[in-house]
Amino acid sequence: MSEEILQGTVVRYCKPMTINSQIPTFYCFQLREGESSLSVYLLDYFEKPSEQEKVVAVKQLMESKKFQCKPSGVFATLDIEKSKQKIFESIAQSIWYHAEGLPHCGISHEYEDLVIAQFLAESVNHCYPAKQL
Amino acid sequence: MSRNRIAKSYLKQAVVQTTLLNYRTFHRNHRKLVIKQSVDKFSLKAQHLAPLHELDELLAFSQEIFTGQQQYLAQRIQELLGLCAEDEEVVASASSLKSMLLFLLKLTHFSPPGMTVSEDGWFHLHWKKESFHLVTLRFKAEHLDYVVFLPSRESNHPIVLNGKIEVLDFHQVFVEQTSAIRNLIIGY
Repeated sequence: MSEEILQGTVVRYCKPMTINSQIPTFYCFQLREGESSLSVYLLDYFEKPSEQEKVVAVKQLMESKKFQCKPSGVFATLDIEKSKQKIFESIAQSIWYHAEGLPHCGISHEYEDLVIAQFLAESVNHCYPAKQL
Repeated sequence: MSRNRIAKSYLKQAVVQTTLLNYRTFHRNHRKLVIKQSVDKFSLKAQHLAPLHELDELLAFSQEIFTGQQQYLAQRIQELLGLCAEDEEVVASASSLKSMLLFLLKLTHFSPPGMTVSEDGWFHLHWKKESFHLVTLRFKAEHLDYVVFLPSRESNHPIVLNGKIEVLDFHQVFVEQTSAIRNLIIGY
């Protein structure tokens, strides 16, 4: 089992068709069929002065791996502790953030995916439209 | 207006409301038949939807049925299909779109929903009043997955309902018979 990340902030790239009116919804946090964890990036890995600059670094990293971030896509940040706490307090379920070759991380859980995705969407801290990065 | 003209005008509306026949055809051939059968709107539209299986056919159908204030739904479907076509990893599911259209046909009147497509190609609808007061539906071929968050009177945490159900059964159980959910989706 890879190392669990217990605190910090992660960011997830949300594709345009999973966004409604520029707001990432739960659609952005659903596991795809066959996936066991949701792909996110740990912002605290980057030594940059602001959160936005760290998100820019993630975007550059993704693009260096030939991933195309669409201008109408959005980067949504999640606080690890707060999101875990919100889900545990509401439905007594745990989610885990674990390192998958930092700064890349995965979010995994053992509950109904739609429900967890909904809670993660409700836990989003900030949204950064890709075109502004 | 003479009584005869009023009756004629009423009949003209009745034809539009209950059949797919135009006024002339109605008078010429099917008047008695149509009055007797009085097919409801949902069944007629559902019959038209049934044989459609391709995304472009379903888009054309949505453009036909969502007119006036609901036109934005057809525009959103078109926009989402365009976004999926641009993304090599996402293939929009025609069966999911068909299932979502069937559900919207059954609703007839509803508050404007949010509509998106997941990375698996499934169409989703959601209605949200506030953070923990919402309905989310993920449409698959014959059924839908649902998540409902409702405010609890007893705690600060939401009541969470989730599961899998046939599309029209969701309408029967949750829209017709559960006022808290009906209020979110229909608005009254």
